[in-house]
Amino acid sequence: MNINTKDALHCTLEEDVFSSSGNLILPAGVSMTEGLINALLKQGIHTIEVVGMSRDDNGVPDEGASEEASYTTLSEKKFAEHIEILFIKHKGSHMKEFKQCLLKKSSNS
Amino acid sequence: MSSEKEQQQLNWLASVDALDHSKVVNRYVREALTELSSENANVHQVGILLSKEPALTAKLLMIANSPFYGFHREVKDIEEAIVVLGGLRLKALINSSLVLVDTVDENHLHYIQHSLVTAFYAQKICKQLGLHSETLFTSGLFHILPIILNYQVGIGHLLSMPVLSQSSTTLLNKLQLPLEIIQSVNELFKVNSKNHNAAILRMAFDLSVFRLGQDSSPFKNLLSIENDFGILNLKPLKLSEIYWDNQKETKDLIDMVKI
Repeated sequence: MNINTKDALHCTLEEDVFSSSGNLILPAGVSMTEGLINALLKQGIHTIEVVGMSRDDNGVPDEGASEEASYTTLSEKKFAEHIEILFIKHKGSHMKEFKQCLLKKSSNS
Repeated sequence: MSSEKEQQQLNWLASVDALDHSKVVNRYVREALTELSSENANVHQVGILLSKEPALTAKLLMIANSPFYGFHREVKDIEEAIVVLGGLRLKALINSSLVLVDTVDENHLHYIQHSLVTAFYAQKICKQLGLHSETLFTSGLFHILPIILNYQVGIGHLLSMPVLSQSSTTLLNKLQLPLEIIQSVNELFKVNSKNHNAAILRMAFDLSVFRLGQDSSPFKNLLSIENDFGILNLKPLKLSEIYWDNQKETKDLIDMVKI
């Protein structure tokens, strides 16, 4: 999902970030720290694509809901986040289906 | 000119090559494994050989009572283990003990846990496919044996696929393991391999990454198994069921080897 760079603390990049000259600045999968956020803002990059966290209308992370499932325990949330990060580079049809099966069962367990 | 990282990789590979394999598998264990491989294996003789190594016996009993075998009652001594397991599974048991090295380094422990859990999932995937699991079980145990036996702090950043492949091939050849095991592990780390055994190992590897979790998995990326579903004719749903149906057993396995 696309969010303001300044709101991306602790989020995981879903896509590579490139400079205006086409050079890779940050690869997908990186977890955003304050330093990285400041660096991107200095480069004029004000929005980025991050993994899966839903937010309210004010852009505040909504910890209680997600599009795929609702997670009621911390371990389920951690598992789901881990799965999202691991599958970032795996976009094939079987891997997508496998990811959905894992997440679905996680929310049902 | 090699970069510093490349030089470190070369140095580590050289140290794997220099490992004294007689210390990895000592004389009594080697004789026991040789006896178990013979046509008319004398399991009583195997018991005598193994009992000469009390520390090994303790490890073997710990594994015999682990989720690998799922016995309903406790196996109390090595003679009982021999009778209950039989020669074929006893070989697997002895091989399992080789990865249980003593360590106080938590990251080192995570590599050991990853090996055990990968072997466990390889067994389960074989069962799902209706295949014998001995080769894949041992391959799963040993696929990162060089890291376990030749661990050094910070090893993670040196472990490219070629380094993993070369180190395991070197060590497993030294240990004179069956060719099918060596080939399976070698193919595991090849991106476009269509090897059937390697496909099972890759799936088991990835399940182990999920199971150990973000904090404990020594590997931060998955191996690509997109093509392996077709190679094995295994549906993603079935693989996810293998993962979820064995949560307790894998937790017990992970907890078996804590510092």
